[in-house]
Amino acid sequence: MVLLILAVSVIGYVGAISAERWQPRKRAILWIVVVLLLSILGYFKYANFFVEGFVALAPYLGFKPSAIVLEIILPIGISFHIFQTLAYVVDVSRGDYLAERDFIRFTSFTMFFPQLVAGPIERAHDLLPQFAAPRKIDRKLMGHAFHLIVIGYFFKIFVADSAAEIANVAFREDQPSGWWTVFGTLAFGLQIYGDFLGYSMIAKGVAALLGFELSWNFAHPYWATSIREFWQRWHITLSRWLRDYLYIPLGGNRGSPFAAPRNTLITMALGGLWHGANWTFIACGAYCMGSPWPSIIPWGGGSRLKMPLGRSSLGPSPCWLCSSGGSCFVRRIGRKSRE
Amino acid sequence: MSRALRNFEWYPAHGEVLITLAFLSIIMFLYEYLERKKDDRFALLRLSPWAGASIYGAAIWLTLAYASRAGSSFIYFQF
Repeated sequence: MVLLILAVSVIGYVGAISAERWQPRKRAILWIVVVLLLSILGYFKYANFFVEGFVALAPYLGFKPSAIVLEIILPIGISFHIFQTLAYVVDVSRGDYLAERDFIRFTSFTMFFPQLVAGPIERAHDLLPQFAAPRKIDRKLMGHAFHLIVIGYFFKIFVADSAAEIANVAFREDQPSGWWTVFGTLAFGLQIYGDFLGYSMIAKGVAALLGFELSWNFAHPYWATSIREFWQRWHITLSRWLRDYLYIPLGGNRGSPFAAPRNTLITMALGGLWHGANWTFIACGAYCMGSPWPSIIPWGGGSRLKMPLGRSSLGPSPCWLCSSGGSCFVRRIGRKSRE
Repeated sequence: MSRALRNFEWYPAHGEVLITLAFLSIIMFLYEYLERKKDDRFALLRLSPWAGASIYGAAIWLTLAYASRAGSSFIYFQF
């Protein structure tokens, strides 16, 4: 695991310096880095998905392969680690950020413990300079760390795990009753939110104890009044990553009237695939497209996301049911497909 | 799954589940409502010392009391 993370860091470190030094060849260097990093991610996360897909498809193509299941252990947090490193190399090759020469500082950025396993996915210009600057740990920062850690653990252990007990009963049943379907849907919405919000708060709190500031990953997503707004408030650092390094390079909302829906569809489907090597996750990405086009393009409106906390809203909205319903669909069908 | 939607028979045990869900939802709602109302992510810290101590004390107590359950790992660790 450590060697793998180190290898990814070395690729990012060497790739960024090379792209900066050899400007005329920076595009080729960037492609090499992208292929290397995505190959590592693809092998560890998606090898079985593609092998199983091939085995299922092969009879229709006239082959009869024997079913192979590779015994690959997915290293914890590999997606987050690779996405953060990839973003750094892209930023350097675009000229948005100067390549870091200090290897220890760079690996501290890519292997920063509080956010190593599940984010937030930090941009280089937000986190890397903090390693060079003198850290000031004062009473205010400690207060914030205390709040984030205490409430984060409370959300995970009390709220999310309590909701999980209800959701697990609902999902264990082969034919749950109507009420258990409703309870399971609501409970899973609470579970996944409490779980990930709790984790993100603990990560931010632990970083604050060390004198660092990490990004917020949530901005009250269940208060959103549209699917578009929901994705602006849920897992914000991943949404930004997908916008800046996938949606906009694909063309964003420029070009033909079909460009934005097409690019959104690709981005959401790949975002779904990022969550897991299963067709159900891709289906979930497609499910998130189930609203009128203008309201579902999460990144169409402006270059920076703005979500003031005090913005008025109708309150927790049907987005809860909508997103929980989608997640439950994925969880239920996913379980069936594994059986 | 669609068969489930035709079976909405209510049992007394459902009430307990509903109360649990309502309780957990109200906690989340109140926490976020306070943050939004004060436009401050750390609104709980700015409460009066007694109110703050009560809320943080209750959160720590409930966390410790429920920590011995067979809890699950963080969902996003699998990604």
